[in-house]
Amino acid sequence: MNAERETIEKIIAGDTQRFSVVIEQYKRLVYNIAFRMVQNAADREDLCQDIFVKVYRNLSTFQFESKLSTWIAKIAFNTCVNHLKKKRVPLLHDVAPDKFFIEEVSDRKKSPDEEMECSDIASKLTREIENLPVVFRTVLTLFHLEQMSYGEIAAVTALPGGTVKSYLFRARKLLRQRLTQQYAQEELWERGV
Amino acid sequence: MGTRRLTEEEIQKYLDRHGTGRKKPDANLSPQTQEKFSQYRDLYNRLGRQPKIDLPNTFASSILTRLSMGPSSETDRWILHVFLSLTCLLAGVLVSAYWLSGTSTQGLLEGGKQILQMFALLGQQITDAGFNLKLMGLGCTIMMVLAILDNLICQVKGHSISK
Repeated sequence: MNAERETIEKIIAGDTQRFSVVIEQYKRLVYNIAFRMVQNAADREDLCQDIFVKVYRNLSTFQFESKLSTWIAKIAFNTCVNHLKKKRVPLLHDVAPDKFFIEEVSDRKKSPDEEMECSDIASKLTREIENLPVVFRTVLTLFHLEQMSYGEIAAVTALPGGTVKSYLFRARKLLRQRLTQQYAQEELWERGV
Repeated sequence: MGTRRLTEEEIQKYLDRHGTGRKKPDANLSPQTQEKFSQYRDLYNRLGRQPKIDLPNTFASSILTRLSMGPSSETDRWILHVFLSLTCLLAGVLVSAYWLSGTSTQGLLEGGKQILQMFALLGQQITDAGFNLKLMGLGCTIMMVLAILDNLICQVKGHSISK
């Protein structure tokens, strides 16, 4: 923590090159958020760059009241939200009853490309995650990939803690239902991983 | 002894609290609960696997290059902002002073008589040197309007990034 504070203070004092330490340390966090929130791969790298530029320009306003990772995640989340708003992508689209969701997805005929892409379980899961609303994908990423607590996720997304819990529960429930419904159970669920 | 059933919420709460290390929360769970538990445990394991990072090796250096090209901090940006605003204001005063007639200018800016005379002298010298003062005034006005618009757009775009 002290080393991080020292690094930040040196960057603010004008040592721009030292910012590469921050980039290397947090690029996975930023990438994970952008990767899950923005589906257009071409936009992701530009967004990641924009996020780090914003982090750099606002570093002097960081008060060390939260973890640097939470603060960076918040900037990443807001930058992606702004990007999606510009593209008119809904953040929390049609979170309908679970049954409707499953039927809607399983009725859709997959293209040969999609079939190829779904050849392994990881791809199937990725595809199902992509079908979830943006906010569900984000809370899943922050909880499972970044090991953030409910409180930290609430701080990043500006959602109440209870809502974060509810979104996480619903997202995982939807994923489990969709996956078991769509694919043969013995193929999908590996026992004793 | 009967078997226990757990709701999906209870299974998730258990996995959130204890992680996926243990195979089953309890031996005497109903078969349906055991099946759901295994499915959730597997889902948790898969959700925790990091995706392959798809950023070029030059990612950090390209950001540093980008940073070296622009103002380095919020303070620098603020200084630039103030400088541009003052320049716009000065340009506006100069253009207004030129287009206002001599008497009304004096009436409006009683206290700034000397400054106006200085501007008038400057305008005369520019005209004498062969420049089209009206064209320059028009150029200044256009630049001023563009600067104000640009400023307004930038303010909207950069509004509260961490909120």
